Amino acid sequence: MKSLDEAKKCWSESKENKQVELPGDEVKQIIRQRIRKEKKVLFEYFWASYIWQFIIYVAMTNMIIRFWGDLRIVVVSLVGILMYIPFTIVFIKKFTKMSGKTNGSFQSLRSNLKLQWNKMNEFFVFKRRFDWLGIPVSCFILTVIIFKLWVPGGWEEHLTGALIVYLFAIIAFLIATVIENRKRFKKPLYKLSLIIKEIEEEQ
Amino acid sequence: MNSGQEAQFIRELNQHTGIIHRVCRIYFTDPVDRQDVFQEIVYQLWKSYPSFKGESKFSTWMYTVALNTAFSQIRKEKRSIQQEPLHDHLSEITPYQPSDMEEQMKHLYSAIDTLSMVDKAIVLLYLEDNSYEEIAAVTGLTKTNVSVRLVRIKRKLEEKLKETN
Repeated sequence: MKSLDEAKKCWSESKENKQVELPGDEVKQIIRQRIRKEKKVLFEYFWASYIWQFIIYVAMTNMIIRFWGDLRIVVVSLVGILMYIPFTIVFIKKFTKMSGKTNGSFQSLRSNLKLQWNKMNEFFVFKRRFDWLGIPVSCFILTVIIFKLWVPGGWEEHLTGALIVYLFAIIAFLIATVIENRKRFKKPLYKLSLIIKEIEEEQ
Repeated sequence: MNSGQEAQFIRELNQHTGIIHRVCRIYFTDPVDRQDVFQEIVYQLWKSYPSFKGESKFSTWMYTVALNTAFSQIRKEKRSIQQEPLHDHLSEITPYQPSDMEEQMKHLYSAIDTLSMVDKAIVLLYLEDNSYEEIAAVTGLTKTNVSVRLVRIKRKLEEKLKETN
């Protein structure tokens, strides 16, 4: 076999032997299994983020009730809740949009890849913006709560200690965020952009 | 999807299962990956079947879904390999062929393997006897671009095939 025309002939001859029938029950089994798998994947990412936000709400509400007379704590807790409410709403909306893989229709390879890139990038831009605001504020609230609940005198009397805890919390959050962003967004976006670039060259 | 549509889907799918096998074969070397992607393609076809309006041939639509799914799967760094065991024939992506043909196909597949993801899709569609219009529709390239690329791909593949011969 030296030319592609010969290869094509060989290919079509080999095709004759390759038609394998899939019984209906097996198709249904595959579909059931894939639906379970898809739900599981969505569940893992969505609930990991959602539970974190739920913990924030519960902790903040608890702080407001517990320290109702302490204006500073009430304000800090309210800021936490108010900051996370729009994030939760937008998060659910954007995540649902991003994870809606096919929307029931497929266009050409080029259109689909661009669509996937846009959806993922849109969510990533939103997440990155929230990270810039959310990480410092969340860490500040976390530090205030830790010192209020477990350190006698609170953060006011242990300013250096509170600052160290705050910085450690920021570093930990940043590391986790950078790793997550690289794995879930930057690498997939880069791979997608390479394929799109390849398709679009010479167009 | 109602039961009538489902039965029709299974009937049409069964006329073209070879397409899924060949897409899996061309993009994935590991048999476990192939089986996983095979199942994912069947699932994506089932999911998007209600939106198939018959504007293109069923096989053309199937290539579009299969290739898009394969591309998505390649992008994912880790794919779950936990699957329920299915009937034996599903894992048998390359059934028995005469040995000389098997050898020739092996050379062809290894030559194709040197191509980029997009070029693999183009050459697969070409080998499957699709017209330039159909290749353009599936890939989103222009017809002219398909023909230009095919010339380049043919040259590259022929060089590889000559090397192996």
